[in-house]
Amino acid sequence: MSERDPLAQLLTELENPEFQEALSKLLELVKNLEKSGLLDMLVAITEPEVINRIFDMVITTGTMKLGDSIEGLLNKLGDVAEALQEDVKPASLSELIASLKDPEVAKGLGRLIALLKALGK
Amino acid sequence: MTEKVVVLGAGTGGLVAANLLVSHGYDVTLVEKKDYHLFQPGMLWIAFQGHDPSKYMRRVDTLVKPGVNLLKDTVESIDLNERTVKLESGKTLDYDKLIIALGVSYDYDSVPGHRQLWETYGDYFSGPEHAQRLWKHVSSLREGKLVLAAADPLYKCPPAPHKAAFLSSYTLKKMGRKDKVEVILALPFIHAYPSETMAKIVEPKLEEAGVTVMTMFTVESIDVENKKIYSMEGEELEYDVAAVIPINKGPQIEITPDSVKDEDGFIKVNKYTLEVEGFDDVYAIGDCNNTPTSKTGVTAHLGAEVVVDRILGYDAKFTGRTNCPIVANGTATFVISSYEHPVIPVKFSKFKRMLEDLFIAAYWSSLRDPEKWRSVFKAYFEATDPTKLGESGW
Ligand SMILES: Cc1cc2nc3c(=O)[nH]c(=O)nc-3n(C[C@H](O)[C@H](O)[C@H](O)COP(=O)(O)OP(=O)(O)OC[C@H]3O[C@@H](n4cnc5c(N)ncnc54)[C@H](O)[C@@H]3O)c2cc1C
Repeated sequence: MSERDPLAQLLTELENPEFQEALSKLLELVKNLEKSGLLDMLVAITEPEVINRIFDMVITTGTMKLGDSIEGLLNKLGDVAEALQEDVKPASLSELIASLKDPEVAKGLGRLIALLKALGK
Repeated sequence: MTEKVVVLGAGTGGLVAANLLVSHGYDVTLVEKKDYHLFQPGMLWIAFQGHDPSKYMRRVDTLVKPGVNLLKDTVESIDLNERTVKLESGKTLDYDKLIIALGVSYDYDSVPGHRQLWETYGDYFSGPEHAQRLWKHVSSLREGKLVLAAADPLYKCPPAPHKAAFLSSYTLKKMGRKDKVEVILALPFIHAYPSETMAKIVEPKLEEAGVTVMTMFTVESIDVENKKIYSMEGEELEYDVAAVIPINKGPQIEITPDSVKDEDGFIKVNKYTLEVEGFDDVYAIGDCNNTPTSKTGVTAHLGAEVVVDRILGYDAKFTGRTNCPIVANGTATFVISSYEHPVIPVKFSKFKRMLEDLFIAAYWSSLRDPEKWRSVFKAYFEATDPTKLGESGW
């Protein structure tokens, strides 16, 4: 493997116009963050102790399972959004009861009950 | 007087132990024979996707904290009664505490034809140059059979051949050779994975990737001239390109007393304290010990933390926790178990692939600054503790 002097490598990078443009945008970002006061907040948040507390709060069995279901949830949300677009007539109580014969409605209701159970735990 | 700790091997376990100890003020000497540390899973990407090895290598001296006395030397022998370590250069080290983290060694000579096969095609276990040789053959394979097999059921990172199968089938598909090249995964197990629970999850994924799985195939001999592999179970496989995982043995050093090694050279330890049998001032962590758990980087890292805590005076215990990632195309899963808990079912998901990508990104930093990552890893391992995830898994 070839050894490269990191300083020399940085200097070559600095001559690259793409890098110069990125760097000037980065400076702009830093200035904006400073002006809005967000930079102070970011500095505080990235203190190791605070980071540790954040990770401790964020990484739990629940969030790990949630992370896994995000894919499915997003697909479901897509279906829901589509359903909301559909034109529907107001339903009566008898229609509601009749609709329970529809396997999709029955399954959805089952999910709703499971959800209520989880919320009540 | 500060306690003198000698750490042997700057792999995953040795680096974590040395860097943690030096930040607690110990006098730490680390012995490593190589200039570079290799991120071993990287060999899969070198061998099956043509990645540049430099991506997965770092100079060892850039991975140790200031204060660690790094010696580039080869360990020849250890005398546990005399508390001395003899190095190839002629130097002798003495210690108050010794941590052995020398990993495994490979045996290419017990299986006839294996050395010749390895010299011809390379493999994805023994080093970046050998992984590059394998890539040369895989990438020029226009049609025929790519066989991925193992010479023994006990090798480090149990899902390594599965990852090899997924990555190579993906590469061949991208090259438009999927119908011309058959990827055959020949495994020395009853199922497609040692744990039946995970086999049920991995099998359909392998099928989806178009990988042919052959179970109960332990390589017994290889005929390189006629391109045939014979199994102990009495079957034979033809190949055009093949990579066979070598037999994994303990480190090749002399230890007095010899009785601390098992018949394969692995160092016998108490599976909870990682103390070498009969010596409370010597520990063996990671791949080189005989703990009944998978040999992985995660295990080596967690073992290093336990040993450092014990040296600090805490009654820390190693749980045998594993977290072996199996990456497939765009997704991943983990093999999760511990001493107390057999493997639980863990599904493939994009989220887990993202977690695995984050683990890989954090690798170098977690070796050099393990204390910074401790709480993150602790949170992750607690959150994904097999008992917490439950029988339904993750
Ligand atoms: C293809 C592949 C994929 C893998 N994938 C994963 C994965 O996804 N996740 C995971 O957790 N693990 C994975 N692993 C396993 C992981 O890399 C190892 O388990 C881990 O590196 C073990 O750490 P260790 O410290 O015990 O040994 P090693 O990291 O192997 O370190 C041993 C060190 O000792 C040095 N050494 C040996 N003998 C001597 C001597 N006589 N004198 C001086 N120095 C010596 C070696 O040069 C080496 O640096 C994979 C392994 C392979 C091969």
